[in-house]
Amino acid sequence: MRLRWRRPRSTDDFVAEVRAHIDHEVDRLVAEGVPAHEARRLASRAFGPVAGATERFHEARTWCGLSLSGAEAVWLDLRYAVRMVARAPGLCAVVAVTLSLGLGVGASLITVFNGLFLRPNVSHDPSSFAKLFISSTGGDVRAARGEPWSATIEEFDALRVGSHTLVDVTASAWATFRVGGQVSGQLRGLWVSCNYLHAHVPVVVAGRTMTDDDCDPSRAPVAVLSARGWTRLFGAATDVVGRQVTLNGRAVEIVGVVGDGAVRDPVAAEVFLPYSQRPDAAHAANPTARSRDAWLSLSGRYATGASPAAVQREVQGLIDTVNGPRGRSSTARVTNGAAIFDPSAGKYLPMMVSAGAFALVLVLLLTCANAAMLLLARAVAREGEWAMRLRLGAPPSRIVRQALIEGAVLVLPAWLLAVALASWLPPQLLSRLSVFPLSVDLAPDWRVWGATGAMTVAAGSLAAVAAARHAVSAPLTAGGATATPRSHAWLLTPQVAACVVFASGVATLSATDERWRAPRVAYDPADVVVATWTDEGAGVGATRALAAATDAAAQLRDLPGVAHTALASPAPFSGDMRMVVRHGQHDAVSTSLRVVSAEYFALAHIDVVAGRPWHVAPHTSATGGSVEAVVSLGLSHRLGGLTPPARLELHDGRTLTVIGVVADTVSIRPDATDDPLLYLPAGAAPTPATSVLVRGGAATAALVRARWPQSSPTGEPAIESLSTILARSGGGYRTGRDILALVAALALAVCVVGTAGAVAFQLRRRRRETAVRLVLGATRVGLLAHHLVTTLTPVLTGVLVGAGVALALGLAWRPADAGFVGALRDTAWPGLVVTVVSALAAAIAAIRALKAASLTALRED
Amino acid sequence: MSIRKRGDREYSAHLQGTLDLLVLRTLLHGPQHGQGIARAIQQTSDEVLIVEHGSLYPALQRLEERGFVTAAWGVSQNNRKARFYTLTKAGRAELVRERSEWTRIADAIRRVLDPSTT
Repeated sequence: MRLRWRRPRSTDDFVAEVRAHIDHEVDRLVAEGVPAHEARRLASRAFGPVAGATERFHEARTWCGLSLSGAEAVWLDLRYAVRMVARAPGLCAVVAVTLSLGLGVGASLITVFNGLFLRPNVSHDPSSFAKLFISSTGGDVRAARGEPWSATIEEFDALRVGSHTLVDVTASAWATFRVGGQVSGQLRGLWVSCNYLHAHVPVVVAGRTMTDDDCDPSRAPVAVLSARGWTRLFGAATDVVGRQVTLNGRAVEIVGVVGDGAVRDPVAAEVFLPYSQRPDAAHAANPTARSRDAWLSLSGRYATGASPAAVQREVQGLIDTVNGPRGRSSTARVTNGAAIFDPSAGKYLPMMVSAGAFALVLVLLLTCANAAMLLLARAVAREGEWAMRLRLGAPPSRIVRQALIEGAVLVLPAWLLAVALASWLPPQLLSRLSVFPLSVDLAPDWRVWGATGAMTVAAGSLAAVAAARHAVSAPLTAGGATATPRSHAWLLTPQVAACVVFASGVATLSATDERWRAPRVAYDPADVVVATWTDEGAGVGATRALAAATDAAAQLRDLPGVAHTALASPAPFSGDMRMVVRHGQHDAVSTSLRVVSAEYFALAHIDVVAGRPWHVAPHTSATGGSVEAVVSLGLSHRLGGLTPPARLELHDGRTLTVIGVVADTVSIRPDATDDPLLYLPAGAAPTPATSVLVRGGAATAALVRARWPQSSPTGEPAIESLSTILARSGGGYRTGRDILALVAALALAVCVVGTAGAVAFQLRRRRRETAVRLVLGATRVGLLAHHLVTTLTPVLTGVLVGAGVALALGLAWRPADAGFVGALRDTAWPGLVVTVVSALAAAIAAIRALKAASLTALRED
Repeated sequence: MSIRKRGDREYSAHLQGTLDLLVLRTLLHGPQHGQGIARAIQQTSDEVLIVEHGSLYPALQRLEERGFVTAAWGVSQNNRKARFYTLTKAGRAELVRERSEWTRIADAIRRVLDPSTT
């Protein structure tokens, strides 16, 4: 290509040449005897449209070999587009706000989803990070908190020493540490192997990191703070290194502060302690505990050249070597640390993430479709102008380009607003998800921005291009086309349905929240005080915790105002333990499990239906070597109408003797159908926490705190009322409700815009027909009703579809006794609200459009 | 550009790409302004070829962009301002090339229409 460095010719110069040409032609014609005025007319006619010639002149111009039809024409189109936007500020503002809100909120939720579930969330060298999951069954293996994918110390040691495909095999376990002494509060932290910080959090802020010597149980206990814990609880004091603090009743020395490195888990660790300091069972010295208790979470770093498959094979082999001789069956899995691949999350997490992603993409698409609908309605009004330009000689490509630029001028600011919103909103959403600080990588993903940007541009340009194409294919003659755009109106159906489902979900979660606040129990939760030792936090050992809890219950029973004291693990509404039992030839049943003392039934007002609870000291209750158990009426029915005494078989071959049947109660989740419950005496099964329940008056909590046995070897437990536990446990529903309310509000806004856009577009398309009808005597009210019926048919269809889906989901979610009526109520009002709001939006849009459909419009056409 | 049919009716068909060739050939006689070029083509072709004036100037612009002609404002014989186009060296070479190509195609068409003359 030959480059010519010269100034491009101006349009004015070209027009001057055209004028000169016409003047010459006039001279020639006059010379031939044509009158002057006729000569000018003939010369102009012979030349043809000057605009067309100018358009072709623009197309032909180049600069440095590059077409100038680009830059200058784009600049002209840009200026024109800005003027056109300024002419309809209201409509453009609605489109911009709809797009920015829809895309911004959608992208924010995708970012949070991405950070929580899809990213490994490892701040130091995530590409080499490997998360190891080990599940062992059979023998005497005992998983902490019933989690099947934890490892024993023996398994950890085997991997640490034997693995060649992994370097720095590390172990960790979450714990909550209560800080005593000069500062007080709670720290969320980890028991870690002493190579953990070196492998995953290598940045040392102050002091030192952990060394292998720190994991020697005979050494004085030490702790390392994270920058977050250091700042939050110690105000980033520079003298914190070397200070002695009390963690869970034990004095430890803080030896260093490390950076806030995220290691897979979204909850940010605030303190790290050597795992060998965990007092439970003295792991390093107790061979039984080393091989039996699975409580460690393992991870590592790939050795150079190692592949995930090679690591998987090696880990499986090493674990089999350890567990095979003990009669255990083991399964090992290796992932990159992303939560969605976590086998302990089960199959529901991928399903939920997929469903959430689908809903978000749907919202994004509908947002763009609705914005496009509004733009289409606006673009249709300009078909006449474009058709005229075509007749004057403008090439179709020029019209399409102008349409694209106009779309871009409108939607690009909306996209920038969406980017700003999506940068600000994710941290705000995340802060509501957990009481503990979360460390989630919320860095924007360029693919999300690319996708939302492409969708925005598509929304802005497709509508304009569609209208331009119509003008190109049928110039001038098709002004006021009468085609009914039913296909566009039916876009409303899925979004209205989604809107109803989201709104019904908000109603259902609100009702669930209410039930969490006031569960249907025969006592006032505010009157029950719960003192809990969590095994993960205190690490006092199940046996010591049980003994301390039993002693404490006996002492607290004598306090004034105390009606009952009992042991219950887990405490009501504090979690769920499960066990699989079988009775005779009946199918095995998975049931909730609660380990309680005999007084629990009286404390919780649970009536005995048949047989009796155990009477003796709870942790010694047994009948001929078989543990005595009590079942709820629901479990009794599930097991084929079991009546005591009866024998239950566990999955590992052990047996239970059922000595009593008690009434059903709501004590696991107040929003669900009463679970079948199996009660075991305290000490009969390992529990992650041990709780003492004290039922008395409102002042009981203060009394219990004040009179807590000072001699308790386990230190002070967490003391709170049952109503506080309920409020905390139901917090997830409130967060879910708030997020869903945000989505529902967004969906409703999108729906309103979509409805208004559909009506406006339809009436624009049919303005000629409407004007003719008005001339022939049709009333505006009649036409309004006609258009409303046409538009609201897909809206009402959407409401019905959405209500059906919401009702089905509501029935599946709700407990049977709150079933159909409650689900119907939670579905009916959102459907009504969506219908009314959509009808209003349609009516307003129709009235505005009908005003424009007058004889004037007909004449313009 | 159109071809005027006998009976003063025009074909709607256009002779694509020939306008540039005719313009270059006309400028071989010396600098000329747009209206003069159009008149020259019509007169030389005995009013058979009618140059659409609106198409002529974009074609001139295109030739100028490609370096086959240069242009400068001047004064015509009528004492009016006009933009005069002059054939360049590259334009002459292009004219030779295009003329040769046109002759080859015209011969080919003639052979198809009247095989007996070949």
